[in-house]
Amino acid sequence: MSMISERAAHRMRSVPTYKPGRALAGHATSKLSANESVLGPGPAVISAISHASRGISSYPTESAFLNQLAQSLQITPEQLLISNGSDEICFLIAQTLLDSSSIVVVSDPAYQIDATVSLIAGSDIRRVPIVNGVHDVEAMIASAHGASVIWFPNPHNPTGTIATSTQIRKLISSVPEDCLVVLDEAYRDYISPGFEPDVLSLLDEFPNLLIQRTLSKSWALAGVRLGYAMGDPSLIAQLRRVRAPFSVNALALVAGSAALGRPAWKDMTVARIRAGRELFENFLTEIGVEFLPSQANFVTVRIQHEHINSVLAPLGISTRPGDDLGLPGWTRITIGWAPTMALVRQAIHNLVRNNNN
Amino acid sequence: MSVAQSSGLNLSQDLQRSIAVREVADPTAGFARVRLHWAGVCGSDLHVLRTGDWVSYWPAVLGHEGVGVVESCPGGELEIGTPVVVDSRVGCGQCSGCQTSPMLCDSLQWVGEVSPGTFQNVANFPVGSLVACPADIDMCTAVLAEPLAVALHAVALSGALPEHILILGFGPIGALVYSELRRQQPSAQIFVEEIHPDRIQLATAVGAHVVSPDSGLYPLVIDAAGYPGSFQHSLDAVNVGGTVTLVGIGHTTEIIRPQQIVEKSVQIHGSHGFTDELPDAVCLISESPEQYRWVISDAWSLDEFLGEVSNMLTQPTVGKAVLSL
Repeated sequence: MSMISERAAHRMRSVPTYKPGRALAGHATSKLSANESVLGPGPAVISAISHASRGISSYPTESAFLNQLAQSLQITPEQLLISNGSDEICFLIAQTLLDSSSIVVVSDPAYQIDATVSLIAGSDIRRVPIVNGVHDVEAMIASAHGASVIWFPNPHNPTGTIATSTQIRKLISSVPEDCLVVLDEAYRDYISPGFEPDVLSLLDEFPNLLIQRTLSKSWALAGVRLGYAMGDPSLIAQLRRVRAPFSVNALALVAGSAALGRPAWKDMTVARIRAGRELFENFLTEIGVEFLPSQANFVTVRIQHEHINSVLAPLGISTRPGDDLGLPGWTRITIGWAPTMALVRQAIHNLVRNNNN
Repeated sequence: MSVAQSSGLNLSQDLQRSIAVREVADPTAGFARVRLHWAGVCGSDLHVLRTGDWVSYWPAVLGHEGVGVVESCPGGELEIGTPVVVDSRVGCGQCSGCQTSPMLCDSLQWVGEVSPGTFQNVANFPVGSLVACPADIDMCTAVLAEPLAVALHAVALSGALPEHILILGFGPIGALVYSELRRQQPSAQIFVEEIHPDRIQLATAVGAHVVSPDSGLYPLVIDAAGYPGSFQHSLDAVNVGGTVTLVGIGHTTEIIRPQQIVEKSVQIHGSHGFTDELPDAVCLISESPEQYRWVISDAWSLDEFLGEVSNMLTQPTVGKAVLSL
């Protein structure tokens, strides 16, 4: 190891390596380990990307998409920053607001990138345990004293639990004004209708609220990396200063624009995922397998990954070990295409039956 | 090879449904034993489950859309392990029509109705009724090959495709007809009439223009619904000199005005099943499975299906329902 790499390794010693969800040898629909949208983007997006490939010699221009997105969200472009995936927002927050004197609050377990960017910045982390699979908002508030950032995924990954509008308002209004609450809504579209927290209305009221979202999940654009943040215009302006000028590439902008232009595809796929999640949770209840009730496109079940993998891997189906996500003894399963989920149900049914015999 | 056990969905003559195990004898020369992986549930299966129509043996094992893997083939025509799609047509093999295509048989019957079908996990089929698939085919999507062949046939019969086309109904056949029209004629404006809200959402999602009845006149109308009155509605909706293709099977007696057919110089095609499109359908699915997966909306094991059937008989699924075997 060279002196430089030794120094780098020393500085990054507390930063965990990210382990992405694996795919096995099966078809694309068999990957239930990364919460991707298994039907992929709609025909309009595929067609738009094909046509746009001729223009990739030019630097991307984001204003048209920015305006389109702002209009669809009914906010101003100044309240909005687009990014190279939602993860880039996490890095920008850390670069802009955190250093070695900072404290951040995360849930435990937490989305790993939130902790990773905080550790890279040298910040201290306060971990607030998820209790019985749900957010402990009171404990989050109690931990906020002296903190610079609270990372708050809602729905939460890897449990799928959600906080209500009332809880979110209480959290933001209770923490110090100089503490930024980062509400990660990557899985928002999967929340059952009627239960979506009203958060956009809080933007004007609370300058210490930043909402981040992604087009990787319900919009099925994980491969092109496209996310965004919504917040107070003066904070957004600072984040924009830090962001690389062309961090969102031209194909991502075209894909995002085409997807937003035909939301019916997203609505259809989300409706199927919600129905598939309900079917899967009913099945788990029926056969007595413990799970965390989810409002996301995954369900986390209390089965050791090695056990579940022993019946799903032969079918080419991959799932996410809870050990990778801070939930040892559990397995996170993306709600996938209906035929894949039929195989998953059969395999779990056989596993449980064999264990009971 | 020994006698195999096959677990399947039995339909008794008094229309009771149950899961039962039956023995499947060793295949003889000219036949292959297939380990079925997936079966598709067709509207005609639901009709038979409701009525018992067309069945000539009891208890029956229905299902005519299926994909699986060859387990045994005494004649060696198919290699063990080859994925295959079932060609469900059973022609008499003796009439003059059969010399051209099983579809023109005077007494055409279907797997499931005349012999045990695909709602089971092991069955013997004539080698000539199996279409070999590429080894890496996505087996579940391949279960769409038979209904896709039906759609390809309907589109082929419709002749040169115009720029404006109306499809009646966006069930699985309507969806696959749409998919083929879009593939052949990317620039076409394809309109859909449908009343089921989730099917309207699906049609809109894939880029069809959902319209209400009496939205205008079209040079080509494809009736993929077969609801009472749909034939007359197709005649009302077609242009002078236009074409009406009927692929949905209507079971009711229709009152039509022949004058309209004459005065509009309408060409009418009845599109039943398919001729030689099944291998083409396999190729299309093999090359681009992602183009077709959205057509499948529901999937169950046989046990689950037993509990779901009564729902399906009253409320159709949005897209194709398939069974994991």
